[in-house]
Amino acid sequence: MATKSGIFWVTWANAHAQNSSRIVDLVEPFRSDAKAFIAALGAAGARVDVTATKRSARRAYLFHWSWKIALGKCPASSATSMPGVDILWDHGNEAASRRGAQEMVTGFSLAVPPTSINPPSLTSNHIAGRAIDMDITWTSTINIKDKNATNVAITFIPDVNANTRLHAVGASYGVRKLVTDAPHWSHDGH
Amino acid sequence: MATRTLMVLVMAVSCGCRSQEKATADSTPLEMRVGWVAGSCVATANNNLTAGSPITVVSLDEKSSIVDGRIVGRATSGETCPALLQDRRKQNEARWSFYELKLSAAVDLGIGVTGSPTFVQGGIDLTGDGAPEKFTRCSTSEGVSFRVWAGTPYQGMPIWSGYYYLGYDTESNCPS
Repeated sequence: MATKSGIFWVTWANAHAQNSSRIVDLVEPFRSDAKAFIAALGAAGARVDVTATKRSARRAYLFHWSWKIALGKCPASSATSMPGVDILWDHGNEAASRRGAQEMVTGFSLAVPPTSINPPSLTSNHIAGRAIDMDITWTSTINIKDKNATNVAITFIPDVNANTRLHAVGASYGVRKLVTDAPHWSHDGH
Repeated sequence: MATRTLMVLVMAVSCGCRSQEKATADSTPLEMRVGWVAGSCVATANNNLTAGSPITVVSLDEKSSIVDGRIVGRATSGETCPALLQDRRKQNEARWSFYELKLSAAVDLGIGVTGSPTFVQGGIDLTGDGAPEKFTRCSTSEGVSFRVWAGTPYQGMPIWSGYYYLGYDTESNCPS
């Protein structure tokens, strides 16, 4: 029997639909590509701090629909279903449905930005296991080996989005920078 | 199939409610004066703001406005500062210092200018050329991009940019 939307699903997601920051949870060949790139960074003396790898599709589903229903972007009856998530979005009246969804938005801390028209996404490279968020830092200039074992001298700059030499080394491993999001690298740059 | 609507907030601030102030030279680098605001919290590269310091926030919400406020002190918790919630704190703290704000009106998202910015016809002049800057925000793949432009938004380079990492995937609407 389906369970109505509400805070229950926050607890459920935190137990059964967690995101990962482990490289092993990425899919091949991106997993091996990311490991090789990070190994090269480490060997050169860079510090790499991975904060997100594979994100749960079920969690994203709960984020997406709770956000849209709570903010009144769509009626609860328009929510799609997802295998393994037996949630009842439509409580029978729209006000109750929105209250249930709002409990989830608050519980998931999704109320940012509350006036945005852009909901959490149902699909992404993170959800597919083909993206990684990481901070890469070092001091001054280091030599990082690209996939062809060529040393590339790269100077640290705080804005990683602007460090095109680092992007090129990452790309040689199949790990491509998305320049709108500082920590984000993926198999295709999206 | 859901229709994806492109909406990017661009704001040249109207300051009809304020008297124009005489321009004052502020030698503080721009990156030390400007920060992005989420709720009652500002993220800035300036690690030395003190309680009581003035801040002017350009609200980039659906109804844009200018909001006055003051620095309350360091922000330390996700309860007062959404950027410090557990799923996004590490990334945001790696780049910014966070301060809690007391604002004269609620702001969801905006760009703050500390100190006493120069008001000119049409907005705030940060460069001293007498022309108002344009303030924008848009959604990236997993965050919010804030920018200040001396010229036409999204053409050339912004004079300041900030990034709020949300910790989950969003539907991007930033112009490429």
